[in-house]
Amino acid sequence: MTTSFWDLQNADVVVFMGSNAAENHPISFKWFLRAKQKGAKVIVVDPRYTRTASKADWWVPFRSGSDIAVLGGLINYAITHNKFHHEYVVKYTNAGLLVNPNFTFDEGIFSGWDPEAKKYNTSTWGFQTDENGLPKEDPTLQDPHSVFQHIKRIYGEYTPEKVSEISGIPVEDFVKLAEYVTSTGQAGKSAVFAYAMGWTQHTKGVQNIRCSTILQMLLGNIGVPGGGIAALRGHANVQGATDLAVLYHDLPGYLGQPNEAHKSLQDFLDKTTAKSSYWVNKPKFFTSLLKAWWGDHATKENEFGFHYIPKMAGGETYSHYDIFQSILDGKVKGLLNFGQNPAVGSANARKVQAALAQLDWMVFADLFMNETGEFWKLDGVDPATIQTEVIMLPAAGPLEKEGSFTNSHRLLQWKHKAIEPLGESRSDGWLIHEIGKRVQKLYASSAAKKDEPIKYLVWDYDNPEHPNDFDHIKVLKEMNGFDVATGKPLSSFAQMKDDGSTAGGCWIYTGVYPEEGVNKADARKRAAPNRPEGWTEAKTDGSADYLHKGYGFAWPANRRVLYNRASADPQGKSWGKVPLVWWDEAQAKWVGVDVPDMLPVAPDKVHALGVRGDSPFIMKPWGLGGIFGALADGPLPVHYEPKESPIANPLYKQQNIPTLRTYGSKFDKFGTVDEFPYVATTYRLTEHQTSGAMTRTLPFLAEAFNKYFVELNRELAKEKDIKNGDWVEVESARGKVTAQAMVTSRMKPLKVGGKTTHVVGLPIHWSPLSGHVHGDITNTLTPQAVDVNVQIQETKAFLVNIRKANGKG
Amino acid sequence: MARTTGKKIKKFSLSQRIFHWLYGVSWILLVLTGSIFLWRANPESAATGLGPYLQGSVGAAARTLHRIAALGLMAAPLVWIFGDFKTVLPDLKELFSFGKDDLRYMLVAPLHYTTGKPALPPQGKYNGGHKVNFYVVVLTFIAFVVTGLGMWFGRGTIPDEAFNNMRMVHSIAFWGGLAMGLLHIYLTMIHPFTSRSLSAMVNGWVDLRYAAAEHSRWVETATKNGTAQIVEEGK
Amino acid sequence: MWESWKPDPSNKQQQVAMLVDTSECIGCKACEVACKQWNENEVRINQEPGTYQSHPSLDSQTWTIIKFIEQPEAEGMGQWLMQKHNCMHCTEAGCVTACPTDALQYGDYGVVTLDQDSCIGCGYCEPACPFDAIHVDKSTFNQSAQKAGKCTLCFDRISNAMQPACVKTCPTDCIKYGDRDQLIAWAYERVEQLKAMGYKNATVYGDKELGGLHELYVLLEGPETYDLPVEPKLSKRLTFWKYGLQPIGKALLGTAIFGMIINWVAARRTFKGGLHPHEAEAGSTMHD
Repeated sequence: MTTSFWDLQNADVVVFMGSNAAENHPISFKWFLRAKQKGAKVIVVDPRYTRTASKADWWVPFRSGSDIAVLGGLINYAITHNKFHHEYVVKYTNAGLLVNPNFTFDEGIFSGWDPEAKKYNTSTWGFQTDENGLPKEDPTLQDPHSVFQHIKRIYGEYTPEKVSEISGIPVEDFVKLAEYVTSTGQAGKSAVFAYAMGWTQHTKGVQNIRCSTILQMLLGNIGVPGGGIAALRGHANVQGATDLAVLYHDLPGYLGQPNEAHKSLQDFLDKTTAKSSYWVNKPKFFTSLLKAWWGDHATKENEFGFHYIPKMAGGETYSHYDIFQSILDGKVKGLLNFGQNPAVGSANARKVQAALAQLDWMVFADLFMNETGEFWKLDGVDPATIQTEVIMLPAAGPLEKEGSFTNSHRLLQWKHKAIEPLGESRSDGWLIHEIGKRVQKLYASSAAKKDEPIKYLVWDYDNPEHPNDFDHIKVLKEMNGFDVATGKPLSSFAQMKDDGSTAGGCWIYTGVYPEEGVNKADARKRAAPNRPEGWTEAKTDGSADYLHKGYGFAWPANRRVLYNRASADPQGKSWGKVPLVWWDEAQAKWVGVDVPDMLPVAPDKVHALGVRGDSPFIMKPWGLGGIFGALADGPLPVHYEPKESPIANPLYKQQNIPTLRTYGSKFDKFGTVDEFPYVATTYRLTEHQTSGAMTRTLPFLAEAFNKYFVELNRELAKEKDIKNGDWVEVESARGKVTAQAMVTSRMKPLKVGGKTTHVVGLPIHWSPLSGHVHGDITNTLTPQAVDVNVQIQETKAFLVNIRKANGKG
Repeated sequence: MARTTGKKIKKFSLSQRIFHWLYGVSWILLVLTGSIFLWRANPESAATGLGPYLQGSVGAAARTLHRIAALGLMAAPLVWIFGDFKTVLPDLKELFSFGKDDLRYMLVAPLHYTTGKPALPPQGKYNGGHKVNFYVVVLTFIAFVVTGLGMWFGRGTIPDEAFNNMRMVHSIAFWGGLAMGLLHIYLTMIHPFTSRSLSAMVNGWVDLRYAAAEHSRWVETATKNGTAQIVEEGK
Repeated sequence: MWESWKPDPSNKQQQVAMLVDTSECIGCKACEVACKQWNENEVRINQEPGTYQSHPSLDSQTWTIIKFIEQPEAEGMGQWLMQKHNCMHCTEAGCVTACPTDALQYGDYGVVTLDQDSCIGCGYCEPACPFDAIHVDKSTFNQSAQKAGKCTLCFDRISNAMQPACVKTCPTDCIKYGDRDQLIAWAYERVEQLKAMGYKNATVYGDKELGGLHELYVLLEGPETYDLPVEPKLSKRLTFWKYGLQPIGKALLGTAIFGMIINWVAARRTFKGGLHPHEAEAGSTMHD
């Protein structure tokens, strides 16, 4: 998230949309509640009245999958009612830049669409530049080619009536929502949008979030106290996993994954290094990464081992769902499955189960046996036909291992081992280190060039004191970075060089281990409480260290609020709320309650990198916030219907996002509204974690919530003669589950596209084998329809039918 | 100074005796297991001593025994009814006829059994004391059975206030029944004179001389109408 | 203030309390888990279908639950109330009054303590509790295992300067623990704040009820909405039983035994050899 949990207290409006923080991020929720204590309006836009909604001022039910319609409507409302933060928009964002005159948008399709290749040619999505390469801009925002005029025109169609037709939010409620949200479109006011899987798990998941950033920038809510986009991550360390690029398309610190087209290190850096932003330093970070990985074998002569990195094949993707499709296709024969239960937790679970049965071997590392480790025991799987050899590695639990978590607000927190792992179980890190060591041994005598990446990989994390564990601090130091000659840790990524004299595994983490023996992730210095309830409130004179800078380490550079330069006006003075950072004339530098996110340049000067002192978004071109910004599926988010939708897109001829991807196996079936008339959404509960294999095995958590259920509104229940607690069948094109009905007022019928639409909800935590309590696998129903940017699946909006089950219960 | 004339008279049939002892033993067990409530764990409370040893798992065992004994208590009257039905109605008739002599007996008895004077009015098979004892037994039996079963099986389903009321009645019956019961035990087993009647409940026979003095009306009537069984001692 | 608070160990009369600000309870059940874990209680899988609530009521092994109360309005959703429920540690406690063995007592700091060793599992405390907060284990036929169980306000923790387990774990800090008077003052302030925010029925519960509870609530609606008794009273019958009937009965018993001893001493003289004075006289003249 751009902001910090501790800063949420400063919000004037809190909007939960696609997030159920009270249930899924309960620790974070107390900071939202503190905003409410201080008078913030808390609004929940969600198909379900969740535990989050129970603590909010207002619940706005809407149809799952219509987020961009709602957000676009808010953008339109802010523009047409002139309720956006004008100075912020003009000075801090690219709203005034002029887009390529050939850029067009028609019936849901942007210019450059290639229907054959099913992809966009993005050449018309750039900005007009002058002879010096600087962008042309119109500070009056009136030029028809300006970004502002484009969004005004595109979102002009998102009238309250249209939004209502798509989302099911009554017009008057939408206007009320818009009034609340746009009340922050002025200096000194802020709104924060909290999202999680409710926004991401759509075929336009990335665009959902893009849409909120556009709105937040129009309202001047990014980088200001109480503002921002609160991306609430799905697990304790998902942020850390993302930062360290446990992803196919990225390298640690968001450096990007080279592909076949990158012929050399220089070629890669030339093509992927952004100009006029802090990213011009990318070669330093990238070279340091290569030095960290291949040490002495990363030399100037071999391009620091650039060719040791596997390159993506053109047009190929290698995400989670690609893996299982590849197994089905026979391209992948073995799987190392660590700490996940895809047979239950992944969309279209039957397909995943079938894929597991095609493997030659699977290494399965987990705390407990679960449906993935024992997939042959599942219904509909015939063990006699399966040749897969499964090797279980007993893994250590969270309390049995040392290491760090990077949580949603980018805060690294070290944790110490509480107890030794049980029996032969070992931490995942030890298991991976050990596998790596043994693989290296196998290749040690190889003379083949292709084996060099393995032979030369720096892989020496043995812990002599604890042979059953690895050296965590050594790993931390490598991520932090160090001087190659002296071995001294780096204290800032500004010290990184592109000549091979520094090494660093993840440049954004530099500073977490600034000197030998100092682990800032383990720092636990909290500011003194200034509220009787024991917490620290922000003060208007900036005197309270309410961001607890002595507690843990937030990347980058221990900064708590990203782009916090935007909390001050172009002249460098706070917009009027509690101050975050400001330009100190006397010291001639940026100072503040937070670590300033700005290059050392006065507000009225231009930095050597081309970033002006009044342009806060230093990671973006020219320091301007990207209202207009190219993604693989469009430069601006517009509303498309989910892959399975109850209505035709009321806005455009284009029904789905044109780049939508499905896999086409015999398991990838899709239904229509005639057969499956109800919208379904899936979710988690406080009491359980993902597939539930872990939590349903813990007796106290199994006890806390043990009944698998489907939530539906009273009207639909009446129509179907379903009573609370009745067994019901829920069926999609892909499969069927049986669950007990939870008939509730916490969901309600919606008027969508002129007809009544019902949304039903199913938690994903139950499965038939693992744990003390059991239920059907919700993901039997969900589709593998994914977005083009990150291949996230659409498990938040799909179609089902529901009927009373006979003969059960 | 002989205590006996050498003759004895039959007072209680076998069934009556089984009834009595089953009831009596059950009653004693019920008192012992129920009175666990009296002993306080708190040393600052009135009665201490055994308390801490009687509670906990011993107390829980007592609860089981209390229920078993309750079954015995409830079964006891059936023994008399099914075992010796012919005596049931006549005996009940007598027990429930409480006359002037009975009242005078009750007034005089405490002093009489202490000092031997003044003289007691003539009594039937059951004297006034027996009758009052029987009334207490009947009343407490009904109270115990109704409230006991109510609490045993009704806990959690009956309203809280009804439970509390049952408990109150059970408790009052306990104190009333305990006083009467102890007096009964004292007079029939410990008192130097009246304990001579104990044999009637042991083997069914009582010394004729004692019976003639204490139950003169019964002995006279029974001898007259020939229903009295009198035999020589030792037969 | 709250986190580091601990009672004065030299002043056992000091009144501690827990306060649940239900306006900030998110129903996460972390308190339920922490309670079970700290007290090493057994699992009781007992959820009813169609609700988020984990157990329909407290039981002998489940000392705290969050009650979920759905209040639908004609259109859409009214409120979804969440209330942590456990022993209220009353100043005038029905269970203490009902307990025949004094296993339940008024302990230090206002906590109602339960000594399981002294508990005989009679269950009299169950109907005596107006909050349905104490239960005897009925899951086993082993009667010696059938003991009452209820929240101890983590007496073992608080008497060692720690917070109760549920307080410590609560992610939103909606469960507060501290000096009772201070918490009450805070609760009334919070209610005013909530009223200003539009929760016009917000109220404090536990200040005056049953002589003052040691579990306090800031409620968003009136107590009846949460199934909490309005103006609960200690049963007069229970009080009479504990403080009237029992002592009177014991006194009577003592008097009766005393009377019998007097009688026995005297009667032994009167009825020498088990003979009535008449018999003794007659015996000297009769020779049969």
